Amino acid sequence: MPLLTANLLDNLGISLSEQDYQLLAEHFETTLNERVINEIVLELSPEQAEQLSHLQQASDEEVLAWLKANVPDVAEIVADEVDILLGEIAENSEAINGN
Amino acid sequence: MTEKARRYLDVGSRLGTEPAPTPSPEDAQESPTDMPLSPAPDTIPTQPNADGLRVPDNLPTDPSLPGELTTPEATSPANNETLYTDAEILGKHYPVRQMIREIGNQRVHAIESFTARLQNVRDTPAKLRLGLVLSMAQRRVARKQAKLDAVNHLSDRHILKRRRLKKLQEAQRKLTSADRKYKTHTSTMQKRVENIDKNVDKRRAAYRKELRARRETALSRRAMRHELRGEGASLIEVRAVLKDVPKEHLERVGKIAAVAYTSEQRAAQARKHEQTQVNRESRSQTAINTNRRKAQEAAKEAANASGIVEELKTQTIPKAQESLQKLRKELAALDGDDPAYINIQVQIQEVEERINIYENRELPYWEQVAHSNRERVATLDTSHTDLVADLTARQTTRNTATTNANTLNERAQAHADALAKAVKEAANTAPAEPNN
Repeated sequence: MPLLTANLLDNLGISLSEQDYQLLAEHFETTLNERVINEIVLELSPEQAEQLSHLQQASDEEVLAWLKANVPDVAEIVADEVDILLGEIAENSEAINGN
Repeated sequence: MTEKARRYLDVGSRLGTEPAPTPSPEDAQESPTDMPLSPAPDTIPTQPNADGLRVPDNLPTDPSLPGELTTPEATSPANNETLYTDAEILGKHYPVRQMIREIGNQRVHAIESFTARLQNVRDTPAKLRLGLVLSMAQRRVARKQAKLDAVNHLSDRHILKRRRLKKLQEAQRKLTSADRKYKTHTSTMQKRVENIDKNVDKRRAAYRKELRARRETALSRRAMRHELRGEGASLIEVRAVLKDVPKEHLERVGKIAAVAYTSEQRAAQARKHEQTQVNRESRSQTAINTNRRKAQEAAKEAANASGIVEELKTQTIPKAQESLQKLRKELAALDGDDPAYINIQVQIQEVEERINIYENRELPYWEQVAHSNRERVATLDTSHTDLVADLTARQTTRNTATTNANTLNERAQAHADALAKAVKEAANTAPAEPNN
């Protein structure tokens, strides 16, 4: 289930076709992931960045454990980025709906 | 640096370039999308597509096209695992609390529509009555006007003309009053329907406002984190270290964090919803117990009152009547000047009054008490049936919520294992990444 649901958009007065909705939802999640990692990077020390660069072959479980250990604010970061993105959608809902 | 990583750094971040200035909270408020390293500040679509809808500039419409910012799934074979989807991580059950919030506006709209239409149906007879009154007033004015026109040739001071003019004015006054009442009534009915859509807009505006406010708060927190973190040599070093890290790896880390957070959030919401359902079920059970207790009390009262009625009918009143007959016989056997005569007369009067009280006050009273308590028992039995049905529904909802919460909780706890397994399987089948 995507974070950006059709019902949420409907509550904001945005009605899109299924295809357009899928594109927007996909873009939403891609943007979220990118912003989250950029915020995480800002929290890292050079040593932690070095460790992160060596986690390319690590499993997701190991990456997650590393994140929880090294970025204590990771939950807050994700929550804030979700709120910021949803706020941007709300801010521009009329423009999205009008196009 | 690989081409992919270079493209990511160019398009998606400022890693590897000059250090970005740390924004103050004020900067964040004014221009939230210009935050450092913000990879895609334009989340709002700006490019019209074939359907006329604006789609994001960097939306991956075709992942195979060069130069497009693509998702990790589209470019990295190692990240093609399907277990990344929320449906598999979270199950098909969406958190009910969020669902309720999302269907809230539609549901309230449906309830308001139903209520308004029902109220309008109830007001329709009054509207018809007022319309009839208005129509009659209009016809009366027309008649009075015609009568006045018929004596138009007379002097204005003529008594007949003055009387007809006065009657016309009276009819016009009534017409004005009827017209005002009809318009007020129809306007109320019309506004009732119009307000439904206005309320939808109001709720929508409130939701937008709430999301904007949450965004502002989040931006402030983000700016505060940046302030606390500070800029300096360490951040430059971090950028230098990550400069050659492939974009896919960084995006994967971001996605892992986002998925883990959202699955934990949803599991927490589901647990909260489950607790709400448990509380509701408990309240339903309490209501059933109270209902049964009241029903037992009412049945006891009814039985007690019926017993009193029965006793009055079969014992008390017949005994009093028997006593009355005896006294009357005694009285008939006595002479009028006998000293006991007056005494028996008084006793007869007292017994008659007592019988009268039994028959006209106590008997109806206790019959009414028995009747009302039997009715109360019947009403409580009816509501007991409803309460049992309600409890059954709540138990079903609670079971669903429990299952949902357990599922989400287990998945939130275990999704890392599943993802790790998928990553290993994908790594075994995928070609090695060219940039590692």
